[in-house]
Amino acid sequence: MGKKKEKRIIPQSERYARFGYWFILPWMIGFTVFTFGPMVFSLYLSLTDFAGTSLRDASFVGLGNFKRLFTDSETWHSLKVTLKFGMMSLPLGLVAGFLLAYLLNMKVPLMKMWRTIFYLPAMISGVIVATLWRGLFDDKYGIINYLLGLVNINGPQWLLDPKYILYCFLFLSVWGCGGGMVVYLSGLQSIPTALYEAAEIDGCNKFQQLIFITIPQMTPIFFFNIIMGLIGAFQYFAEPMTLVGANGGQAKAALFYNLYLYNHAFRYRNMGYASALAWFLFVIVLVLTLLVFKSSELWVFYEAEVKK
Amino acid sequence: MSRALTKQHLAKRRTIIATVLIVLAAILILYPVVSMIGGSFSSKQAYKTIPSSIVPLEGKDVQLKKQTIKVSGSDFTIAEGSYKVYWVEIDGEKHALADVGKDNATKQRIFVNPDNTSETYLAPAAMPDDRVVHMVFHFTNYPEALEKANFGRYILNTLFLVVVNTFGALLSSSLVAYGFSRFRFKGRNALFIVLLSTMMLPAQVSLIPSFIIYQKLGWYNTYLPLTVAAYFASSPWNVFLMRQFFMGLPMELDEAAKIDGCGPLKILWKVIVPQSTAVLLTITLSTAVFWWNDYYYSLIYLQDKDKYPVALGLQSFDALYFQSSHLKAAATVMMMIPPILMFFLFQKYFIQGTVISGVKG
Repeated sequence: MGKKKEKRIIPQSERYARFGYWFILPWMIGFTVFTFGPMVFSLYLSLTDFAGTSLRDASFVGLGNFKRLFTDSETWHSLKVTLKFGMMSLPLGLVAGFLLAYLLNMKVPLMKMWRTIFYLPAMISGVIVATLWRGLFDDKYGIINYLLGLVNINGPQWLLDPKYILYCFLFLSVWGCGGGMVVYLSGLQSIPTALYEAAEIDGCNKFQQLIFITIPQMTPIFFFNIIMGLIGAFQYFAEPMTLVGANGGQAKAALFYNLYLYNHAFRYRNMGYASALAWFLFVIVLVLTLLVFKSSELWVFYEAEVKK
Repeated sequence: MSRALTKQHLAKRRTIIATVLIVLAAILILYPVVSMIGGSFSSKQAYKTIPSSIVPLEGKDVQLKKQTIKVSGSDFTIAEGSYKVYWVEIDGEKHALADVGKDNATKQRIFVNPDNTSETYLAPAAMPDDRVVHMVFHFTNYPEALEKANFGRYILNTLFLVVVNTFGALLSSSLVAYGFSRFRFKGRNALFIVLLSTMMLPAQVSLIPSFIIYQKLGWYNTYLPLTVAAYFASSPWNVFLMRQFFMGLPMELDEAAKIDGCGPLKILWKVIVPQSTAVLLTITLSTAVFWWNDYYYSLIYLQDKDKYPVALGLQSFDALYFQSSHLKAAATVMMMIPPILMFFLFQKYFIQGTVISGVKG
């Protein structure tokens, strides 16, 4: 879209074009000072045993932190917790969000009002989300166990039982599926109606249209949301911190990776080790993203492919 | 014709099923919010003791004056005070009666009709579940939370962060987006790709060194680490969103202004910005809500309670007023209102932001 317009414009003089550097200067400074510089510094820190006091006292330990990281069972535990949560919450959130969008797209009355309600959880702080749900998880006075009690099930102590703690976060994340829903909804609305009309003429029913038109058309959006969701799972912080605390609750069953990193960096002041953890996190996110990218050839459908 | 009719019929049925499912989902989504609002009006004792209620219900008490009544022939004196009211089954019918004391002769409880104390009954002690409940709104929870928990201070702190950061984000990202969208300098595309790739970068990688640097500068426990970066286009999302928007604006107006002798800065201010209220509003709203809700960065950089924003203040509530969940509920509701209100007023712009970064990203 941009290209077409630029062609019509009188070519810029080089002198004028150079003004551009002045305008992007704030970002260039910001990138150097707040992103790139710290990244290099962080790489250096990850090779030291810096403990948050004086840099002069920190000694170089080579790859020691990374060796420790691979043998530290708690690192693997927190990684497992995070991945397990991500593997449950991502597909569930995607299906729930898509389902809501699909239903809303069926010419339902008061569509805008419902959309507002579904988007609501995405507007409020993680701390609030956790606070709202804490009461509902209460084993004596919470609605969840009350409802289970109605069908004669003795509900567990959701937040105290290591077996159930992750499910609490699953509730929270599915509850917040409205953020993805608005994206899916606008995706659904941008699918050309001609495709459906053609399918209708060919005698496809609604279900076939969903499987063969809607879902393939939506895959690029799913794809983007899965990647952002993966990164999000590794950034998950305010909710577990509020619900179970920095230690991850009973048996550390909800010790998400970001909590674990926070503990080492800012509570135990193992800043060297925490830097190594941060880089490990970066590599994991990168690898997962590449994996999703690679596999996307199998399942993501782009319009351009048809035109070829 | 009959086929067309059935088709219409089917479509109608589908819409009805969809509506029913949507209403159910809406109830599930609203329930936690509504129940918190209900809790915020309840009394300390009654907070969350009746799981299924979304309104502040509490056990009913009745005030009785000192008086003497007849109980199975003998006199019984009720002391002045408040008495609990229960549902008591008398001859198969439930009555709302106040438990006023024990009858020594029969070892049973004495119940009276609160409206007519001469109406007395003897019955076994009632169970706590049989309390008569009624709805009472304790509006004073709100001023009390503001005062007791220092919540008013937290709100001011948060507003400061919101205003300073939103202004910084608008200023810096419009400059940078203008640079990327209107000037064809060398390396523009490469630099833009660098900017885009920082979207995928986990914040943790640069967090620890930044913390150390801020600490060395003496900025720890001040608002500087939370605000300075905003003035250097720290959010690639904002720059991306704005650049996309600027690219879509016609260049003819720029060119006309240029011919009139406007410099680049003046073009940005007089030509681009007035056309861009939609995207500026989107960024204002998303930045404001982000900082209203922020917990992570404040937790890392702030130490004094006096400097806490609301999210952090709400957390320290737990430790301080663990018993006062009703006050915490009031504080929670107060913290929830601004973003929700903003969303109701400007939802088009919020959704635009989410959708542009979600679909085209």
